[in-house]
Amino acid sequence: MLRDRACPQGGWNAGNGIVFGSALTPHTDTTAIALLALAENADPADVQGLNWLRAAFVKCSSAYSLAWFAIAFLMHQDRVLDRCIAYLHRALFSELSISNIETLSLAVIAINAVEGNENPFQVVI
Amino acid sequence: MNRRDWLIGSAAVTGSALTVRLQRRKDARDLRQKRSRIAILHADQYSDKLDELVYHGLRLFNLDIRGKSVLLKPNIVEYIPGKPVNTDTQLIGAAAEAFVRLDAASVTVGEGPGHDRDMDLLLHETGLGEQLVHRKIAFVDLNRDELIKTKLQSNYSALGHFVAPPNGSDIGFHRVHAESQNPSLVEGDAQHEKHVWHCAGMPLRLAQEHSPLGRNPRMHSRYLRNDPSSLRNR
Repeated sequence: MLRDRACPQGGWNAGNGIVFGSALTPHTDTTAIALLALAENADPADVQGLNWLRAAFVKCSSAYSLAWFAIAFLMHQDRVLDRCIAYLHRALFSELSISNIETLSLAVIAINAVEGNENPFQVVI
Repeated sequence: MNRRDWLIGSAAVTGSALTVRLQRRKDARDLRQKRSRIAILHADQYSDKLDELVYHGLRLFNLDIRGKSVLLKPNIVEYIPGKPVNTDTQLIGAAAEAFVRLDAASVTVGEGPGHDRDMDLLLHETGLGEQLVHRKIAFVDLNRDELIKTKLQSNYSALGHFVAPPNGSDIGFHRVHAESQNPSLVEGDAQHEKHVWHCAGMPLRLAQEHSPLGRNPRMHSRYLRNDPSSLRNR
């Protein structure tokens, strides 16, 4: 179902990828979260989503989105991870950063996860 | 069901209906004027000329803004390059500036998009962040910041309550709305809201809800995006 709902250009919007015949644009957090669920597979939709993330993060100034990008790149062991983390640090210290609790928490989770190379959402039983 | 049960049941239903009716009558204060006043102002394009246009448009109505805290709720949904799906940020900036010039105690822009939840990104992509920085206007993320729920004192909205920043909403409730580029919708809205402006294809609708939160003596003058103390509100 997740793959069926992917946007035509890659990535995921909040719901369907197409509404009333119009293709929707993907969202950063939704795409990253979808890719977390699909981390162990390599379907074309996953690859397309990851490609969209790679193109999107370089233009992104938001710490919230960059944190999600970093977590998704970590789970897919993607080559752009280090660059994404550098962007995240830069965004966190930007004057214009909103720095709300949710963003800061997510950024800490992302940075810690990358440093420990661990899935922050893995449930240990 | 016997006759006794039926009588008890009927009495309960009647009692509930009466309670609901009385409650509704008490809350449903219709503060609307019989006729809405409307100003239609012409603008060729979105530019800084909107500042004067909106300011003079507001002054036509002799609104009592002095000392009030104003919350502007634009309609930022998501950012799609090349497609104007949001209220133009110059119009939002012009409206905020106009209320400042009309001696509002504070002006806050608040938004909580339902689609794209990354408000920081939206502020950057739409250019609204730049407008607010330039004009030193406070911004509140309605999805994430601390908000309070207060009962409305009027019935413009069927919601019955209003959720707003704790110290930014002394107000009337003012909206800068983008989705109704259809003139007929503007006309319809005029029955419910006090004033309608139509600027460059975008109506600026202002609904005064008669200070739904009551007068708050605290000024919301901090500029949240640049003030580290704003973290307390987040």
